[in-house]
Amino acid sequence: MESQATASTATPAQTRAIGAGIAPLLGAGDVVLLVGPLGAGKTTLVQGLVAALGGREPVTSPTFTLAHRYPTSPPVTHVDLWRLGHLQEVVDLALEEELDGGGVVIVEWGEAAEPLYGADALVVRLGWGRTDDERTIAVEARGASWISRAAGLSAVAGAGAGTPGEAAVGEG
Amino acid sequence: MRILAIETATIEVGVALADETGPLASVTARPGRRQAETLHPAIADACRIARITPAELDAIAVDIGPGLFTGLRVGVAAAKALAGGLGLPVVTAMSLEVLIAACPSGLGEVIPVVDMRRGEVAWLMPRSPASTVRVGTPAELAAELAELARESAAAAGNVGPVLLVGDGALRHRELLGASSAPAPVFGGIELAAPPVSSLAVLAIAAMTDGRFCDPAAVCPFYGREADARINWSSRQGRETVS
Repeated sequence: MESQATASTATPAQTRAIGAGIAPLLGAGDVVLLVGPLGAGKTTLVQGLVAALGGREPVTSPTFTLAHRYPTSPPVTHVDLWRLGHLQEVVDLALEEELDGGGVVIVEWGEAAEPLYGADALVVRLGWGRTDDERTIAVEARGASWISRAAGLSAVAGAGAGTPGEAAVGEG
Repeated sequence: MRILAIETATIEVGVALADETGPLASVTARPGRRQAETLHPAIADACRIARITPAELDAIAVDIGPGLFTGLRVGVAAAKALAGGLGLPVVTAMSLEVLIAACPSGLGEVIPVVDMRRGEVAWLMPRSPASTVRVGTPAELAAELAELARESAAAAGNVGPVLLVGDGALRHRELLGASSAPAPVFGGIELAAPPVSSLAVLAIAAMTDGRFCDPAAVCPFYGREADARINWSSRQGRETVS
Protein backbone atom coordinates (compact mmCIF):
# COMPACT_ATOMS: atom_id res chain seq x y z
CA MET A 1 0.00 0.00 0.00
CA GLU A 2 1.47 3.28 -1.06
CA SER A 3 -0.13 6.64 -1.22
CA GLN A 4 1.37 10.01 -1.90
CA ALA A 5 0.50 13.70 -1.85
CA THR A 6 2.65 16.64 -2.82
CA ALA A 7 2.60 20.31 -1.96
CA SER A 8 4.70 23.40 -2.45
CA THR A 9 5.27 26.05 0.17
CA ALA A 10 6.57 29.58 -0.20
CA THR A 11 7.27 30.46 3.44
CA PRO A 12 8.30 28.73 6.66
CA ALA A 13 4.78 29.40 7.96
CA GLN A 14 3.39 27.33 5.11
CA THR A 15 5.84 24.54 5.84
CA ARG A 16 4.70 24.64 9.47
CA ALA A 17 1.12 24.42 8.21
CA ILE A 18 1.98 21.19 6.37
CA GLY A 19 3.34 19.84 9.66
CA ALA A 20 0.17 20.90 11.42
CA GLY A 21 -1.83 19.14 8.70
CA ILE A 22 0.04 15.88 9.28
CA ALA A 23 -0.47 16.05 13.05
CA PRO A 24 -4.11 14.88 13.26
CA LEU A 25 -3.28 11.81 11.14
CA LEU A 26 -0.80 10.55 13.72
CA GLY A 27 -1.45 8.02 16.44
CA ALA A 28 0.41 5.89 18.95
CA GLY A 29 3.29 3.98 17.43
CA ASP A 30 3.62 6.02 14.23
CA VAL A 31 6.96 6.81 12.62
CA VAL A 32 7.49 9.86 10.41
CA LEU A 33 10.70 9.86 8.37
CA LEU A 34 11.78 13.32 7.19
CA VAL A 35 14.08 13.27 4.18
CA GLY A 36 15.71 16.34 2.69
CA PRO A 37 18.93 18.36 2.56
CA LEU A 38 20.13 20.92 5.10
CA GLY A 39 17.79 23.87 5.26
CA ALA A 40 14.95 22.13 3.46
CA GLY A 41 12.59 22.81 6.33
CA LYS A 42 12.58 19.53 8.28
CA THR A 43 12.70 21.16 11.71
CA THR A 44 10.28 23.87 10.56
CA LEU A 45 7.76 21.19 9.61
CA VAL A 46 8.21 19.52 13.02
CA GLN A 47 7.54 22.89 14.69
CA GLY A 48 4.11 23.03 13.06
CA LEU A 49 3.44 19.38 13.83
CA VAL A 50 4.36 19.58 17.52
CA ALA A 51 2.43 22.83 18.02
CA ALA A 52 -0.64 21.26 16.45
CA LEU A 53 -0.44 18.38 18.92
CA GLY A 54 -0.47 20.84 21.82
CA GLY A 55 3.27 21.41 22.26
CA ARG A 56 4.07 24.66 24.03
CA GLU A 57 7.85 24.64 24.14
CA PRO A 58 9.93 25.81 21.18
CA VAL A 59 11.01 23.02 18.82
CA THR A 60 14.68 23.14 17.87
CA SER A 61 16.87 20.80 15.88
CA PRO A 62 18.04 17.79 17.89
CA THR A 63 21.17 17.45 15.76
CA PHE A 64 23.50 17.57 18.77
CA THR A 65 21.17 16.27 21.47
CA LEU A 66 20.02 13.36 19.23
CA ALA A 67 16.50 13.36 20.66
CA HIS A 68 13.95 15.73 22.16
CA ARG A 69 10.72 14.57 23.73
CA TYR A 70 7.63 16.76 23.76
CA PRO A 71 4.75 16.13 26.19
CA THR A 72 2.13 16.38 23.47
CA SER A 73 -0.82 14.11 22.83
CA PRO A 74 0.35 11.66 21.61
CA PRO A 75 3.86 12.35 22.96
CA VAL A 76 6.40 13.17 20.23
CA THR A 77 10.03 12.04 20.22
CA HIS A 78 11.95 14.13 17.71
CA VAL A 79 15.29 12.62 16.68
CA ASP A 80 18.01 13.63 14.26
CA LEU A 81 20.30 10.98 12.78
CA TRP A 82 22.76 13.38 11.13
CA ARG A 83 25.59 12.60 13.53
CA LEU A 84 25.18 8.83 13.41
CA GLY A 85 27.29 6.57 11.23
CA HIS A 86 26.08 3.07 11.93
CA LEU A 87 22.62 1.53 11.89
CA GLN A 88 23.26 0.04 15.33
CA GLU A 89 23.41 3.60 16.69
CA VAL A 90 19.87 4.11 15.39
CA VAL A 91 18.81 0.86 17.06
CA ASP A 92 20.47 2.07 20.27
CA LEU A 93 18.14 5.07 20.42
CA ALA A 94 15.53 2.54 21.62
CA LEU A 95 12.75 4.18 19.62
CA GLU A 96 10.73 0.95 19.97
CA GLU A 97 10.19 1.84 23.61
CA GLU A 98 8.78 5.25 22.67
CA LEU A 99 6.54 3.74 19.98
CA ASP A 100 5.35 0.92 22.20
CA GLY A 101 4.65 3.39 24.98
CA GLY A 102 2.10 5.20 22.82
CA GLY A 103 4.42 7.78 21.33
CA VAL A 104 5.07 9.14 17.85
CA VAL A 105 8.64 9.28 16.54
CA ILE A 106 9.67 11.96 14.04
CA VAL A 107 13.06 11.29 12.43
CA GLU A 108 15.16 13.93 10.69
CA TRP A 109 17.56 12.46 8.12
CA GLY A 110 15.02 9.65 8.15
CA GLU A 111 16.56 7.86 5.15
CA ALA A 112 19.14 6.47 7.59
CA ALA A 113 16.36 4.71 9.50
CA GLU A 114 14.64 3.25 6.42
CA PRO A 115 16.03 -0.26 6.96
CA LEU A 116 14.38 -0.29 10.40
CA TYR A 117 11.15 1.67 9.96
CA GLY A 118 10.72 2.28 6.23
CA ALA A 119 8.12 -0.43 5.65
CA ASP A 120 5.48 1.19 7.84
CA ALA A 121 5.94 4.91 8.07
CA LEU A 122 4.94 8.29 6.77
CA VAL A 123 7.84 9.47 4.60
CA VAL A 124 8.02 13.22 4.07
CA ARG A 125 10.48 14.42 1.43
CA LEU A 126 11.40 18.09 1.48
CA GLY A 127 13.29 19.75 -1.35
CA TRP A 128 14.25 23.13 -2.70
CA GLY A 129 11.92 24.87 -5.13
CA ARG A 130 12.67 27.38 -7.84
CA THR A 131 13.07 30.35 -5.52
CA ASP A 132 15.03 30.76 -2.29
CA ASP A 133 11.98 30.42 -0.10
CA GLU A 134 10.08 27.81 -2.06
CA ARG A 135 10.03 24.21 -0.85
CA THR A 136 8.49 21.10 -2.34
CA ILE A 137 7.06 18.61 0.11
CA ALA A 138 6.01 15.08 -0.83
CA VAL A 139 4.23 12.97 1.74
CA GLU A 140 4.16 9.23 1.17
CA ALA A 141 2.25 6.75 3.34
CA ARG A 142 3.71 3.27 3.57
CA GLY A 143 2.40 0.17 5.26
CA ALA A 144 -0.85 -1.44 6.35
CA SER A 145 -1.54 0.92 9.22
CA TRP A 146 -1.71 3.83 6.80
CA ILE A 147 -4.29 2.37 4.41
CA SER A 148 -7.26 3.82 6.25
CA ARG A 149 -5.52 7.15 6.73
CA ALA A 150 -4.24 7.65 3.19
CA ALA A 151 -7.31 9.67 2.28
CA GLY A 152 -6.20 12.31 4.78
CA LEU A 153 -3.03 13.00 2.84
CA SER A 154 -4.67 15.17 0.19
CA ALA A 155 -5.91 17.42 2.97
CA VAL A 156 -2.32 17.68 4.16
CA ALA A 157 -1.22 18.95 0.76
CA GLY A 158 -4.01 21.50 0.89
CA ALA A 159 -2.70 22.79 4.21
CA GLY A 160 0.25 24.43 2.47
CA ALA A 161 0.18 27.07 -0.20
CA GLY A 162 -1.17 24.74 -2.85
CA THR A 163 0.37 25.03 -6.27
CA PRO A 164 3.98 25.96 -6.89
CA GLY A 165 4.51 29.61 -7.59
CA GLU A 166 1.39 30.73 -5.81
CA ALA A 167 1.76 34.02 -3.98
CA ALA A 168 3.06 33.65 -0.44
CA VAL A 169 0.65 34.16 2.38
CA GLY A 170 1.94 36.22 5.27
CA GLU A 171 4.16 34.85 8.01
CA GLY A 172 2.81 34.08 11.46
CA MET B 1 31.18 -13.13 50.23
CA ARG B 2 28.83 -10.21 49.65
CA ILE B 3 27.29 -9.30 46.33
CA LEU B 4 25.24 -6.33 45.19
CA ALA B 5 22.89 -7.34 42.37
CA ILE B 6 21.36 -4.85 39.92
CA GLU B 7 18.34 -5.76 37.79
CA THR B 8 17.00 -3.25 35.25
CA ALA B 9 16.50 -5.36 32.13
CA THR B 10 12.73 -5.06 31.92
CA ILE B 11 10.00 -2.99 33.55
CA GLU B 12 11.35 -3.46 37.06
CA VAL B 13 14.26 -1.84 38.86
CA GLY B 14 15.63 -4.21 41.49
CA VAL B 15 18.56 -4.17 43.87
CA ALA B 16 19.55 -7.04 46.17
CA LEU B 17 22.38 -7.81 48.55
CA ALA B 18 23.22 -11.43 49.13
CA ASP B 19 25.82 -13.73 50.62
CA GLU B 20 26.21 -17.53 50.67
CA THR B 21 23.16 -17.84 52.95
CA GLY B 22 20.91 -16.14 50.39
CA PRO B 23 19.42 -12.67 49.85
CA LEU B 24 20.02 -10.23 52.73
CA ALA B 25 17.96 -7.31 51.45
CA SER B 26 16.16 -6.35 48.29
CA VAL B 27 14.39 -3.29 46.95
CA THR B 28 12.23 -3.37 43.82
CA ALA B 29 10.14 -0.79 42.02
CA ARG B 30 8.41 -0.28 38.68
CA PRO B 31 9.36 3.32 38.03
CA GLY B 32 8.38 3.64 34.39
CA ARG B 33 10.97 5.80 32.64
CA ARG B 34 12.60 6.85 35.90
CA GLN B 35 15.08 3.97 36.08
CA ALA B 36 18.13 6.17 36.65
CA GLU B 37 16.39 8.24 39.33
CA THR B 38 15.21 5.07 41.10
CA LEU B 39 18.21 2.76 40.92
CA HIS B 40 20.75 4.70 42.97
CA PRO B 41 18.47 5.50 45.93
CA ALA B 42 17.43 1.82 45.83
CA ILE B 43 21.09 0.76 46.09
CA ALA B 44 21.56 3.09 49.07
CA ASP B 45 18.39 1.78 50.72
CA ALA B 46 19.30 -1.88 50.21
CA CYS B 47 22.77 -1.29 51.69
CA ARG B 48 21.25 0.51 54.66
CA ILE B 49 18.69 -2.26 55.30
CA ALA B 50 21.35 -4.96 55.07
CA ARG B 51 23.84 -2.84 57.06
CA ILE B 52 26.46 -3.34 54.40
CA THR B 53 28.63 -0.52 53.11
CA PRO B 54 29.86 -0.55 49.50
CA ALA B 55 33.40 -1.03 50.84
CA GLU B 56 32.31 -4.42 52.24
CA LEU B 57 31.17 -5.77 48.88
CA ASP B 58 33.06 -8.50 47.01
CA ALA B 59 31.37 -8.25 43.62
CA ILE B 60 28.65 -6.51 41.61
CA ALA B 61 26.12 -8.57 39.67
CA VAL B 62 24.09 -7.22 36.79
CA ASP B 63 21.48 -8.47 34.35
CA ILE B 64 22.83 -7.70 30.87
CA GLY B 65 19.61 -8.47 28.98
CA PRO B 66 18.00 -9.07 26.60
CA GLY B 67 15.42 -6.48 27.53
CA LEU B 68 14.76 -2.78 27.24
CA PHE B 69 17.57 -0.49 26.10
CA THR B 70 16.95 2.34 28.53
CA GLY B 71 16.85 0.11 31.59
CA LEU B 72 19.85 -1.94 30.49
CA ARG B 73 21.94 1.15 29.89
CA VAL B 74 21.14 2.47 33.37
CA GLY B 75 21.83 -0.84 35.12
CA VAL B 76 24.96 -1.83 33.22
CA ALA B 77 26.45 1.66 33.52
CA ALA B 78 25.81 1.65 37.28
CA ALA B 79 27.35 -1.82 37.70
CA LYS B 80 30.44 -0.89 35.70
CA ALA B 81 30.88 2.39 37.56
CA LEU B 82 30.45 0.85 41.01
CA ALA B 83 32.71 -2.11 40.25
CA GLY B 84 35.32 0.10 38.61
CA GLY B 85 35.30 2.56 41.48
CA LEU B 86 35.39 -0.09 44.20
CA GLY B 87 37.88 -2.32 42.37
CA LEU B 88 35.45 -5.26 42.24
CA PRO B 89 34.73 -7.94 39.65
CA VAL B 90 31.36 -8.10 37.87
CA VAL B 91 29.15 -11.15 37.50
CA THR B 92 26.83 -10.99 34.51
CA ALA B 93 23.67 -12.97 33.89
CA MET B 94 21.09 -12.88 31.14
CA SER B 95 17.51 -11.92 31.95
CA LEU B 96 16.28 -15.24 30.56
CA GLU B 97 18.62 -17.23 32.83
CA VAL B 98 17.45 -15.25 35.85
CA LEU B 99 13.82 -16.02 35.03
CA ILE B 100 14.64 -19.74 34.77
CA ALA B 101 16.52 -19.63 38.07
CA ALA B 102 13.48 -18.05 39.71
CA CYS B 103 11.29 -21.06 38.86
CA PRO B 104 11.20 -24.02 41.25
CA SER B 105 12.77 -27.09 39.64
CA GLY B 106 10.58 -30.09 38.81
CA LEU B 107 7.85 -28.01 37.19
CA GLY B 108 8.76 -29.27 33.75
CA GLU B 109 10.32 -27.33 30.92
CA VAL B 110 10.60 -23.60 31.55
CA ILE B 111 10.75 -21.16 28.64
CA PRO B 112 11.48 -17.56 29.63
CA VAL B 113 10.06 -14.89 27.30
CA VAL B 114 11.09 -11.23 27.56
CA ASP B 115 9.07 -8.50 25.85
CA MET B 116 11.30 -6.62 23.40
CA ARG B 117 8.48 -4.25 22.33
CA ARG B 118 7.23 -3.49 18.84
CA GLY B 119 5.99 -7.03 18.26
CA GLU B 120 9.16 -8.86 19.23
CA VAL B 121 10.11 -11.13 22.11
CA ALA B 122 13.31 -12.85 23.20
CA TRP B 123 13.23 -16.40 24.47
CA LEU B 124 15.38 -19.39 25.34
CA MET B 125 14.29 -22.92 24.48
CA PRO B 126 14.67 -25.65 27.15
CA ARG B 127 18.13 -27.16 27.74
CA SER B 128 19.68 -24.51 25.49
CA PRO B 129 22.78 -22.51 26.38
CA ALA B 130 22.33 -18.78 26.95
CA SER B 131 24.18 -18.15 23.69
CA THR B 132 21.20 -19.51 21.77
CA VAL B 133 18.83 -16.67 22.70
CA ARG B 134 16.16 -16.29 20.06
CA VAL B 135 14.63 -12.95 19.11
CA GLY B 136 11.53 -12.90 16.93
CA THR B 137 7.81 -12.41 16.72
CA PRO B 138 5.40 -14.13 19.12
CA ALA B 139 4.16 -16.11 16.10
CA GLU B 140 7.68 -17.47 15.55
CA LEU B 141 7.87 -18.46 19.21
CA ALA B 142 4.44 -20.11 18.92
CA ALA B 143 5.72 -22.18 15.99
CA GLU B 144 8.74 -23.28 18.02
CA LEU B 145 6.48 -24.23 20.92
CA ALA B 146 4.33 -26.33 18.61
CA GLU B 147 7.43 -28.03 17.22
CA LEU B 148 8.77 -28.68 20.73
CA ALA B 149 5.45 -30.25 21.76
CA ARG B 150 5.49 -32.53 18.69
CA GLU B 151 9.09 -33.60 19.34
CA SER B 152 8.43 -34.24 23.02
CA ALA B 153 5.30 -36.27 22.27
CA ALA B 154 7.18 -38.35 19.70
CA ALA B 155 10.09 -38.99 22.06
CA ALA B 156 8.30 -39.61 25.31
CA GLY B 157 4.71 -40.34 24.40
CA ASN B 158 3.03 -38.40 27.14
CA VAL B 159 4.45 -35.01 28.11
CA GLY B 160 3.43 -32.25 30.46
CA PRO B 161 2.93 -28.64 29.46
CA VAL B 162 5.80 -26.17 29.23
CA LEU B 163 5.90 -23.25 31.67
CA LEU B 164 6.18 -19.80 30.06
CA VAL B 165 7.45 -17.00 32.31
CA GLY B 166 8.34 -13.35 31.79
CA ASP B 167 6.57 -10.21 30.61
CA GLY B 168 6.71 -11.34 26.97
CA ALA B 169 4.80 -14.52 27.81
CA LEU B 170 2.12 -12.58 29.68
CA ARG B 171 1.76 -9.95 26.97
CA HIS B 172 1.23 -12.54 24.24
CA ARG B 173 -0.60 -15.04 26.41
CA GLU B 174 -3.53 -15.50 24.03
CA LEU B 175 -1.39 -16.37 21.00
CA LEU B 176 1.14 -18.48 22.91
CA GLY B 177 -1.55 -20.27 24.94
CA ALA B 178 -3.09 -21.62 21.75
CA SER B 179 0.24 -22.61 20.20
CA SER B 180 0.59 -26.23 21.25
CA ALA B 181 -1.00 -29.20 22.94
CA PRO B 182 -0.87 -29.61 25.82
CA ALA B 183 -1.33 -25.86 26.18
CA PRO B 184 1.54 -24.02 27.92
CA VAL B 185 1.14 -22.98 31.53
CA PHE B 186 1.90 -19.35 32.37
CA GLY B 187 3.87 -17.92 35.26
CA GLY B 188 2.28 -15.20 37.34
CA ILE B 189 2.92 -11.47 37.32
CA GLU B 190 5.54 -11.95 40.05
CA LEU B 191 7.64 -13.57 37.32
CA ALA B 192 7.01 -10.84 34.73
CA ALA B 193 10.41 -9.29 35.51
CA PRO B 194 13.53 -11.30 36.42
CA PRO B 195 13.54 -11.32 40.26
CA VAL B 196 16.65 -9.54 41.52
CA SER B 197 17.00 -11.95 44.46
CA SER B 198 17.35 -14.79 41.93
CA LEU B 199 20.03 -12.81 40.12
CA ALA B 200 21.86 -12.35 43.43
CA VAL B 201 21.73 -16.08 44.25
CA LEU B 202 22.92 -16.97 40.71
CA ALA B 203 25.77 -14.50 41.15
CA ILE B 204 26.91 -16.00 44.45
CA ALA B 205 27.13 -19.38 42.71
CA ALA B 206 28.99 -17.85 39.77
CA MET B 207 31.52 -16.15 42.08
CA THR B 208 32.08 -19.45 43.89
CA ASP B 209 32.76 -21.07 40.51
CA GLY B 210 35.09 -18.25 39.47
CA ARG B 211 32.77 -16.98 36.72
CA PHE B 212 33.24 -13.21 36.87
CA CYS B 213 34.86 -10.56 34.74
CA ASP B 214 36.50 -7.16 34.71
CA PRO B 215 33.99 -4.27 34.70
CA ALA B 216 35.49 -2.93 31.48
CA ALA B 217 34.49 -6.15 29.70
CA VAL B 218 30.80 -5.93 30.60
CA CYS B 219 28.46 -5.22 27.68
CA PRO B 220 24.68 -5.19 27.55
CA PHE B 221 22.98 -7.70 25.26
CA TYR B 222 20.24 -5.75 23.55
CA GLY B 223 19.08 -8.54 21.26
CA ARG B 224 18.69 -6.20 18.32
CA GLU B 225 21.64 -6.07 15.98
CA ALA B 226 21.93 -3.89 12.91
CA ASP B 227 25.24 -4.63 11.27
CA ALA B 228 25.33 -1.94 8.61
CA ARG B 229 26.94 1.43 8.13
CA ILE B 230 24.55 4.19 7.17
CA ASN B 231 24.85 5.11 3.51
CA TRP B 232 25.11 8.85 3.82
CA SER B 233 25.19 9.73 0.14
CA SER B 234 22.31 12.07 0.95
CA ARG B 235 24.23 13.96 3.64
CA GLN B 236 26.16 16.14 1.23
CA GLY B 237 24.66 19.38 2.40
CA ARG B 238 22.54 21.78 0.46
CA GLU B 239 21.25 20.53 -2.83
CA THR B 240 19.24 22.53 -5.29
CA VAL B 241 16.43 21.39 -7.50
CA SER B 242 16.50 23.00 -10.90
